[in-house]
Amino acid sequence: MKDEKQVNLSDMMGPFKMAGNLIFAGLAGDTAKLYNYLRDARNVLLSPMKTDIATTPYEVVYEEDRVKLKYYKPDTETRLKHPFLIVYAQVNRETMLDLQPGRSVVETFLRAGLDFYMVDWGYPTRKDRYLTLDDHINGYMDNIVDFILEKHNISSLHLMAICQGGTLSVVYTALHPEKIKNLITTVTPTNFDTDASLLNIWARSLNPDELVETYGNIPGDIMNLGFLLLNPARLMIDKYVGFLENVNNFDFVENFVRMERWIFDSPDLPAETFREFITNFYKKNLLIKNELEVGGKKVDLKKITMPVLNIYAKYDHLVPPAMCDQFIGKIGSKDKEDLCLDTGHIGIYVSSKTQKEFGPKIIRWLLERDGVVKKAPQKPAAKKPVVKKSQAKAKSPGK
Amino acid sequence: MNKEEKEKSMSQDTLLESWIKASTDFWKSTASMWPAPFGGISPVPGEAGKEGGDKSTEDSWKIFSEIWQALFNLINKPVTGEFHPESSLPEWMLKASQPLWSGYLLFQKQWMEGEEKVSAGGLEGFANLSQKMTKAWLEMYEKEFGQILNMPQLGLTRVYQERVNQTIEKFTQFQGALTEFVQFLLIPMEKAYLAVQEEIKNLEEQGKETLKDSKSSYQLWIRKLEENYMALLKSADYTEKLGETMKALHDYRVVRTQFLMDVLQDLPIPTNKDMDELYKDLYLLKKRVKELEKKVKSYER
Repeated sequence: MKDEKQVNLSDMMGPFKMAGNLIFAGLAGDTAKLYNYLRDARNVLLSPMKTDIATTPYEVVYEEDRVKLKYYKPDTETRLKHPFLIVYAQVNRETMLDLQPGRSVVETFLRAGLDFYMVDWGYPTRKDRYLTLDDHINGYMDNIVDFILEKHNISSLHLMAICQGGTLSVVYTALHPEKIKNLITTVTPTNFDTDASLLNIWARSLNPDELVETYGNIPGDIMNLGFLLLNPARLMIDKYVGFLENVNNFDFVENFVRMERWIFDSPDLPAETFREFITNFYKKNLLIKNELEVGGKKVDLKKITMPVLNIYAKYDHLVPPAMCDQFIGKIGSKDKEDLCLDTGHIGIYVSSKTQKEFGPKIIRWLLERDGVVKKAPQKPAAKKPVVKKSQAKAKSPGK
Repeated sequence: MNKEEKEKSMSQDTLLESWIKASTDFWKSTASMWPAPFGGISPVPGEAGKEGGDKSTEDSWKIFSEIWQALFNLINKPVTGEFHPESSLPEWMLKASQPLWSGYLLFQKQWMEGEEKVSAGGLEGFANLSQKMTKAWLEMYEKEFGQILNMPQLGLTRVYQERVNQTIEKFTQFQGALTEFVQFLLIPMEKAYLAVQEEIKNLEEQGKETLKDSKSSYQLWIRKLEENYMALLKSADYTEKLGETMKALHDYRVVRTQFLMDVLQDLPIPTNKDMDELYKDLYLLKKRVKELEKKVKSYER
């Protein structure tokens, strides 16, 4: 018998044979079944599909350089008294919030009568390589907020932020607290001193200066490759084996293609912004230590005193709970809440299960703090899916 | 060819031979005065290192000298009469490429030894052999070709030639680093396959039912693969290898950009450097205008 430690070239093909067998071996015994599978797969792949994403109508109300501001308005009467702004990350696109009917945060908000603005960071080109965090936070973001406030003739707005866009928004809120009425952070990294995510380990070993010199703006493809390498077995093999297993299922293929379109639609990241983000956040962890400076001003988290809802995901491999759960303890707000959902980084926005929890929770929380509906009394104990909930006693200062 | 022509030809050969010898001696003595890493060799073989030279630079000189001698032998052959490319060219090529062949043969020998060990079941696996061979190839490259590319260039085109050589060198180094990195990523594949074999064997030994179908085999394999990848990706070795690969990529892209900018100089196309300078000016101007706009707005209020 061959030594189990011995491997030759043909053995190296074993894994690939295994994946192939999974798809075809079960079918091979039954010629008719195999024929049907191939025929259906062909029909599915050749038939017209609706794979467009972000199909909900919106209006572009503000533009500055590559950055656009989208405005979504419900068919019904709007309910919020204060304008509502959503800031997405600069990595990947905000279209994730409107992936497909039935799995769309945009749709959920509109159905609840919320009108809102959403920042589209666009696709940076080489001329954007010198843009810093200060340019994005005190430049584009502040200009957008001022535009909205002026349009509504009001002094503050609700801000909801996603992932790295959340980090920018936390910095913005600390620098301009008077303009933010309520803050909602979702899967937002604020503490970078953890090994809970491979990204943190790798980012700390990166030399951002060399990368910037190598590429200028950091290509989205390079970042995507990094994300794939976080779990190659699942993201580069198992996912596509699953696709081949279900290639004869029209709905599955349509959804799969939509998700692929979103995942690999990644804008480049402006060089200087990347350099600052890796150095000041991943390497030095300055934000949570209150040592960060942006545009010559110190970012003090204690200046965040408005109501804050901080939502993150238990199985998030990009922004694990350890990167999110210190934030609430560092801010000056009294009305603040941590909510850890039983899902992953993307699942929080697109999984059909979370759609029933995530969107409705935000709508209720906002309407209560906007004075539209009466604030529900605080429940004494956290219940599923709330994993952790901080003490929330006082009303927001503005109420 | 008559007697007079023969004498004339011989005197030309002697003259050429003397020139070749003189020039060889000149470069050899000049090289001994060069500082490391390009020279510093002792003019007397075997005394390398006494004046800052080392064995590798002495070897480089030896290789260069052999190639030069091989070229000389070809040139020194009587060109009058019938030309026999089928005999003279292979001889020249053989001599000129002897140092390169010796390196290649050494590499091939190591490969054969590795293959033999794998066939005998004595080595850890294919990925391991592949890694060792890449390392051997890179070492051979560093000792042989790499040193030739780093030989000093002279004259008006020195800068450009150096950039071409650097681009070739850094590209090769990047390819080497990338190959090593990819091989690193293949290790979990092999380990997962072995783990599946081990698990099936254990089940058989315990008299338990082995994996029922392709699906359960695949599920076991993908689980083992995920575990092995997680172990690898969290390791310091991986982070180090990733860092080395990124560094090699950076070094290559920097020299490639310089090389391409040299090429673009002759074409009516702006280089990245030109455009970056322009973009920086534009960035600063826009920033200034926006600040002024804000100030004006605040005064208006």
